[in-house]
Amino acid sequence: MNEDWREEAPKLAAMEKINPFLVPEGYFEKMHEQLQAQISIHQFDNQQDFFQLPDQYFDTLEGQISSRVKLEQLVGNAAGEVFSVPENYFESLEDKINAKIGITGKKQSNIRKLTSSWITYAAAACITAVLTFGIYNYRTLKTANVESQIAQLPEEDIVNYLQLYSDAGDVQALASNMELVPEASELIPEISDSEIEKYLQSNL
Amino acid sequence: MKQVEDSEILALFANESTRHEAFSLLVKKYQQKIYWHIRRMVVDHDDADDLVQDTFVKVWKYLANFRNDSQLYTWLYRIASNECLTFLNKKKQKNNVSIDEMPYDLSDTLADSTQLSADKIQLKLQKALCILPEKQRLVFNMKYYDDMKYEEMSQVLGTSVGALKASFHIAVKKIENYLMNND
Repeated sequence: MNEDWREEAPKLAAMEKINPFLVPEGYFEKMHEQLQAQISIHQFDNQQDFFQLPDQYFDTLEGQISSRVKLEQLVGNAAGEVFSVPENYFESLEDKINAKIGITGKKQSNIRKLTSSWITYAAAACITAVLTFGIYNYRTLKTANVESQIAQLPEEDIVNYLQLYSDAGDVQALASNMELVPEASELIPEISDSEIEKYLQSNL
Repeated sequence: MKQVEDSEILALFANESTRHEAFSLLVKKYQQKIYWHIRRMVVDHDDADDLVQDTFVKVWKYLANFRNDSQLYTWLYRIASNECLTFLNKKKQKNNVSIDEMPYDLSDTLADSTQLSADKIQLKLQKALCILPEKQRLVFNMKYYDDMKYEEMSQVLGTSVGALKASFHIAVKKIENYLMNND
């Protein structure tokens, strides 16, 4: 080795030439095994006949891919419009049809109304009147019907019913009605005040 | 233990039935030289381990095509050196660091106590090496640590002997300057 550099670099020359790096214990002993494993993997990767191919596969591959691309393009077109129409075809279609059937332009057709407006209003008024009359009659009949049914009941049954089910509110209603009935007010003087008071204390 | 001659290894490798035996002999003979050559370049042991394996896998793959116009060990060094340079370039690209920043990345690895068993002076020398460009570091390492001849280095790096001499002397000056100015 040419040692000229020692004169140019005395500090470097004075240093001991040692290997300062550490390696894991037994590293070089295991290296051979690791390399053999790597080589085995490499050989496995490079096995040409590991995967079987049909004869002349790569010779026909390009043609197959081209056919597939064309097919994909056709399918892609089918997803949109298979047929094309002239530009603005649908905009002019209506006019063409109208021309064929003898209608020119887009005239507003005059359709005669079958009914005039006053007939409509009159019909609505009739329906309203019939409905109002019907509802009124229904309510009147219903009220009269209840009152006539109550009139047919014996007085004793009504008294029994009131004794069983009447409350404080009913007393006021009864009292006000009694004032309207002259027979009841005439009967009261025949009963003494003390009797009435006893009655009320025992029944209310 | 008697060293197996390279010619004997190559002869065994040429025969299909003794190929694995030949490769085993080759690995045993050169594994340490190749490992240290790589380790001095990439500093980190795990990186060096990966690159050593990659190097020998390539040796296995291409040894059948090896021509005797160069020595087997310079051919091995050439593969290992290329693996190192490729690895360091990829690492620079991956980390998006400039060429100037890269040596300090290696210098950080040197600070890891599990990687080095050295006194402060040796650590300083390794840090000084990290400031060298990769090819210059390769030249310095092969000359300083492996005592390789310039002619052999020329075969490894594909560079002229004159250029290698100049490169080595520039590297020595840089290192000396670093040692003088960094206490």
